[in-house]
Amino acid sequence: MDILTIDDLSFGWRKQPVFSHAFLKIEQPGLYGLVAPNGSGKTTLLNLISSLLQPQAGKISLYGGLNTAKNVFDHVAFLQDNSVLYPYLSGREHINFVADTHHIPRTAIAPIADKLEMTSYLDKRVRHYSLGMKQRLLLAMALVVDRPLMLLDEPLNGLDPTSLIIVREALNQAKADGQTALISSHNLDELMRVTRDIFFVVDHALRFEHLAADETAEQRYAALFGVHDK
Amino acid sequence: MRTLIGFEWRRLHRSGFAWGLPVLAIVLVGLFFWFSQVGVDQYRQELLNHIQSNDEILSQLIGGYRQTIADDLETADRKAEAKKDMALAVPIGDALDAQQQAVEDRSTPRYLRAVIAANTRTIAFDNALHRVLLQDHHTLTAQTKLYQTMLARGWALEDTHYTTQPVGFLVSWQSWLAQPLAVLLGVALLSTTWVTALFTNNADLMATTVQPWRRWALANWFWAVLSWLAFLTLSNAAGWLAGQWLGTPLLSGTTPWHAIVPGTGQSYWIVWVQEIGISLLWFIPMYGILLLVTTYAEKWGRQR
Ligand SMILES: Nc1ncnc2c1ncn2[C@@H]1O[C@H](COP(=O)(O)OP(=O)(O)O)[C@@H](O)[C@H]1O
Ligand SMILES: [Mg+2]
Repeated sequence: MDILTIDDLSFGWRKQPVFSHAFLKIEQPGLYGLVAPNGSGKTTLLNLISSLLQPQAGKISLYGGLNTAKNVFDHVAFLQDNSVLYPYLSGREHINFVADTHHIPRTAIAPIADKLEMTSYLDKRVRHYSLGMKQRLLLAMALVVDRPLMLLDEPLNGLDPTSLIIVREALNQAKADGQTALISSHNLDELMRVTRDIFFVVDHALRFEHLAADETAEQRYAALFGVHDK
Repeated sequence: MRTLIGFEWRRLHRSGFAWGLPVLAIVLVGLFFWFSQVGVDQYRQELLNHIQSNDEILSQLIGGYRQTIADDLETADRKAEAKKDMALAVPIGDALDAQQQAVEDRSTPRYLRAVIAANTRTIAFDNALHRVLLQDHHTLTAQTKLYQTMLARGWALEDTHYTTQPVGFLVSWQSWLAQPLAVLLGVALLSTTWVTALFTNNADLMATTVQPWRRWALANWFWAVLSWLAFLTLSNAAGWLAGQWLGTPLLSGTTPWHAIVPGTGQSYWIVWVQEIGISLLWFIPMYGILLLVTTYAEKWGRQR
């Protein structure tokens, strides 16, 4: 059973096409990248997969079923943009909430918070978080619900080097546990330290590439998007 | 569902809304109380103005009779008639003077008695002369009947709209809160945490965290209704205290809960409870409609 298939997907905003006839298939668990310059539709694609947006044409399936709200809830953990967080609530309140709605015991929270080294600020309000703290909170929320497929929108964005290492370890752990993650980034260099299986958004379509060990990010990126985008 | 009810409470509490509401209740009641106080003073002045204008009518009338009686050119018959009529008119004027004195001395019983006297004498005058001097008899008789009851039971005279006595004040306040427009404002106010979450990116988090989605709306509805109830309770409690401490009668005496609200035939107690019920009956569906409309508006806007 395929983990995720996107079949002949077309989607556009009012006058601006984002995808036309895009295809994607993930059959094996593991870490996958989703790379494109800013504004080319990474977030839009993840929103389409999680059915926050409806495509104008095409079909998206998860684990053998259409991406209904129920199916998404059962199978997907979605790390969204940090603007989804409530500034007046604490990190703990956010994690407790997602754990409770997903029927995950709260005892699962502490190990994850420890692993992401965020225990010390968990009870502060999100309003007082730095970008890196918010990113780690979002990752903790995605990890705690323990879903087989993780959609991670720019999880590496704004991370300091220490946080980068922590997050990379968490992702490798997820992979070792048999989870699947689709990780978006506009920074191919950063992402290649996590995975070499990458989907690129090129000309409103999705193209899969397994980057060879000797290829550098710069070469690939330049070949696909032109140097001016870098 | 319990998770969402808990979460919505956290949002209300942590966003400061749960504390803003009591403050708002007290401020609004305070404003309405002050407003009512002004209204009471005005109503007292209106009573005096009313007495004054009736008085003027009578002065003219009596002045006319006096002239007729004093006029050498008038016939004896006309003079006798004027004397007879004047004898009927003068007691009305006396009753009006008594009314004015009662208002100035702030005495409800004396005022009620004076009005009853004036009404009775006016009707007698009108019947004798086949005319309507001040007001139609229907109104006068109804007022007389009401005032007789009030006098017999010892109820205070108060304006139905503006009073600072606890019982009347709560009924006026509560009937404001039963107006659809006031309820609509309440809905707009209490939906703040819902609307701000729904039309910001917070909604994306909720969409992927709450399944099915309507649970969030239901949990929010639950707290909105409770908040409205809390608002009614708090503002009535604050109004009661304000009335007890600072309330002054229009003239004298107090209005008990079992007194009849003029023009309704029902007691203050019943009217108050009814207005609370009406307020809630408006609020619950109106808030539900808001939830529905905003949910669809958000879904519609998201795709564009
Ligand atoms: N809500 C929206 N309404 C209209 N256009 C949008 C909206 N969200 C994104 N877009 C447009 O769609 C394109 C893709 O955006 P997005 O998916 O956010 O890109 P990325 O995540 O790759 O940076 C951009 O050109 C952006 O301007
Ligand atoms: Mg994006």
